[in-house]
Amino acid sequence: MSTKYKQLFFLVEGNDDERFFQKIIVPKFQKKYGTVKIWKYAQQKTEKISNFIRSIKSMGADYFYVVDIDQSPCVTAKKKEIKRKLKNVEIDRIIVIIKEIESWYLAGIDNKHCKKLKIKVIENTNNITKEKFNNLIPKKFNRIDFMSEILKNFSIEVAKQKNTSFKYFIEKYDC
Amino acid sequence: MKDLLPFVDNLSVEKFADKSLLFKLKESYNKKQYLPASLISDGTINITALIIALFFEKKPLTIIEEPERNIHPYLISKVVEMMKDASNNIQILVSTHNPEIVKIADLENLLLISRDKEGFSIISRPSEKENVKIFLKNEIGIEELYIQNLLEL
Repeated sequence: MSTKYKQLFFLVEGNDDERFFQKIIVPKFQKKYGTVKIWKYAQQKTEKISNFIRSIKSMGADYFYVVDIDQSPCVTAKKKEIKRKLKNVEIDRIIVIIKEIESWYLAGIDNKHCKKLKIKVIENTNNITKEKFNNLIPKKFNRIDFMSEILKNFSIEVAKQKNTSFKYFIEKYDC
Repeated sequence: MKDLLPFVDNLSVEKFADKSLLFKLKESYNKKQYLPASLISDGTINITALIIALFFEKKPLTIIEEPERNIHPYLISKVVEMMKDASNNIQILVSTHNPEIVKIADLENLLLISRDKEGFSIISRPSEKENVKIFLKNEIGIEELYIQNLLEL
């Protein structure tokens, strides 16, 4: 069945995730969905997130719940943790980012742009945390500027090579 | 005025020879002297201006831009109540970016102004949107939908 007129919601944690999804991921899904929206769940109570998911399901829309793996030992454990907290979320709708959204940002810069931005080339960003990312920010940028600069030159193909969870997400959902 | 700002004891306008006017106010904390407008908080001045516009102007239509400016959140519900009260006699249009006002205003009175892909303004009624009704039924507040930019769905 065509999903062209369906709605899709991305439930993301905060502003850094929203910036990334809005610029890189949403345009990909706009080819398949009539409307693609982002909802930020940081600081929301579990009950409210659950109510939001219930609403989405009631309107027949699709959704993805996007979460960082943080300290969880593996994706399955993280998904189980989320499922314990949010009873009405479907396991296959949970997208686990390894390791944090910053690793997805960094994954999309090719070697040429790494040089241009004066940051070291990182071949695999699976272990990039917020702290490691912050330490890489060149002096001439503040954090938000740096993130925006990365997104301007972001390559999905490069990101697939440098981050496992990004590759899995992009390929699984064929976008 | 007392309902919103119980510390206001009296208001006055002083006229000068050059025809300029000076708004001043006496607080219950110090009944001996009036405070000139330059020393009064912006919120107090805005509320005073709102009261004049709503109850003392003899015009059938009053348009108010962002009545929430400089006003403590606690007082916003009272400001909305005051506007509803005045709307029994006059038509009032209010523009706002304030979630508290969106929450307190009646849903059927809300008009959302957004922009389409070409940048043109579109006016829609959230109360008529099926998805908004579903969210509200599931206890996602109207202010939350507004804050997260989901009212236009």
